[in-house]
Formats: sequence, C-alpha cells, structure tokens
Amino acid sequence: MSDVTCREALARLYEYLDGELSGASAEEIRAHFELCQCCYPHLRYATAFQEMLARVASGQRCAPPELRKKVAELLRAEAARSGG
Amino acid sequence: MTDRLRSFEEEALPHLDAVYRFALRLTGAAADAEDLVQETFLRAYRSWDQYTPGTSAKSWLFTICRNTFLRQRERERRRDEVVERAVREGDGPSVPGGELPLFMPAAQSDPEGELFRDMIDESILNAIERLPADFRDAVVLSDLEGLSYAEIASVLDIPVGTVKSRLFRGRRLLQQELYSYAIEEGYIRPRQP
Repeated sequence: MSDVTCREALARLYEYLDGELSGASAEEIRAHFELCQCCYPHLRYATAFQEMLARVASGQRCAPPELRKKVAELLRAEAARSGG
Repeated sequence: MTDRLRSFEEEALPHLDAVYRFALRLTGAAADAEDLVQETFLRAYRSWDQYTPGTSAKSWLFTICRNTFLRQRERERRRDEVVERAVREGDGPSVPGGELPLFMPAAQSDPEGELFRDMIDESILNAIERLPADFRDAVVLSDLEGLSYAEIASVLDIPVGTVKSRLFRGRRLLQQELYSYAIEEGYIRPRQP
C-alpha cells in the first residue's frame, strides 16, 4: 500500500473527488482508497452524496424567460449606445 | 451585431440561469434577484475587455454579481445588513480539529448512502438553504455550480484554504441535516448502539 496514511487520505477525500489534486497526488489517494478497507466506505458514501448533489444541480431552476429577454434588450441598447 | 456583443452573448449569456440562481441566493427575493442580474450583465458587458478569454466566464460573472450586490447593500444600509458570523472558522488544516470528513452516524447507519438516492430534490435544496450562509455559498458554488476551489476563492474573496474548510464542514452539516430529515420521514432508522 502507498505511504498515504488513513488520516491523510480522509483529509483529502473531497479534494480528490472534486478533482483538485494533481496527477501524482490523486493517484496516491486513489490507490489508498482502493486498497484500504477502513477508508473505502468513506469514499463510497461521499460519492453517493456528491452524485445526489449532481442530480439536484441538473434540475435546478432557470431564469424567468422575461428576464432573459430583458437582459438581451439591455445589452443591445448598451451596444448601440456605446457603439460596440 | 458587433463582435463585442457577439462574443459576450456567446460566452457570458449562457450563464444567465446560474447567475440568476446565485443572485436569488444573495438577495433572497425574485424581484431583487432580477434587478441584480440585469445590473450584473450590464456591468459585465461594459467590462468585457477585462475578461480573459478561456477562463471561466461563470465565475467571473459570479464575482461581478457578488460585488454589485455588496455595493448595493452597502449603499442601502439595510437594517439587516449586520450578519452575525456565528460560525467560527480558521484557515488552518483542511481537516478542522482532526474531524472526519463525513457525518459519521449517517455514514454508519447507511454506508452506501442509500438515503441520498431516495430523497426529493426539493428537500435537499431546502436543507442547503438552511446551512449557515458562508457554508451554503461554498457548497452551492462547488456542488451545484461546479466551480473549482480557486474560482470559489475568487468569487467569495477568501483564501483557498478557507474554501476547503467551508466545503468540508458545509458538506458534513448538510449530511447531518439530511440524515435528521431522513429519520423524521422514515427513509432510514437510526443505528442501534
């Protein structure tokens, strides 16, 4: 197993899942979670949690159509006013 | 149409929904959010020269939106502007006080995170809204809007270390909140000691 301790792996769990670790660090953490029986359930749980949030994110509300129209008009007026 | 307007419409306008959601969270009211969005896009258009192509237009717009909101709020001197920062936090290690990243009672009674699969989106969004504002903002920008830590730091004007610790604690608070909700609603049973 890699030199990463359980404590380090858990401390970096979210950085790992959020894609914030560079190649080598990510690989170390990935290897630890894959091989460590104590830590693996943490990864499973956090992954389920983030998958839930990704689902929620995809169904979030949109801006009202009138607002979209207003902003488009505002920008065109501003472009015409400032000539660019 | 001018090139400037065209490039702005192509790169900035697709983020209107996200900016609207962000504005809604900042202002708490749909009418205020709509005003804020218009102001944000107008300012952004005027500053379009300062945007670096290829960087995240979304986080750039969020930054303008938040700054505009803060300036307006400052100007209006609303009575409720003084927000208690009830939650202490540091910029220290990403594991505050050596705490575990997960809310353990929940993880132990439901190691596969089954409760997350059954939960209704609206309940989850409500639980997110109930988080203390600092934590909520970090969780929303990361988990719902997909910003990187560096982008969140720039939008909220805080160090990356603080982003990490707010995400760490915010997510755990959210798990705790969802766990309580799941027990109340009978999705899961508390683990017997």
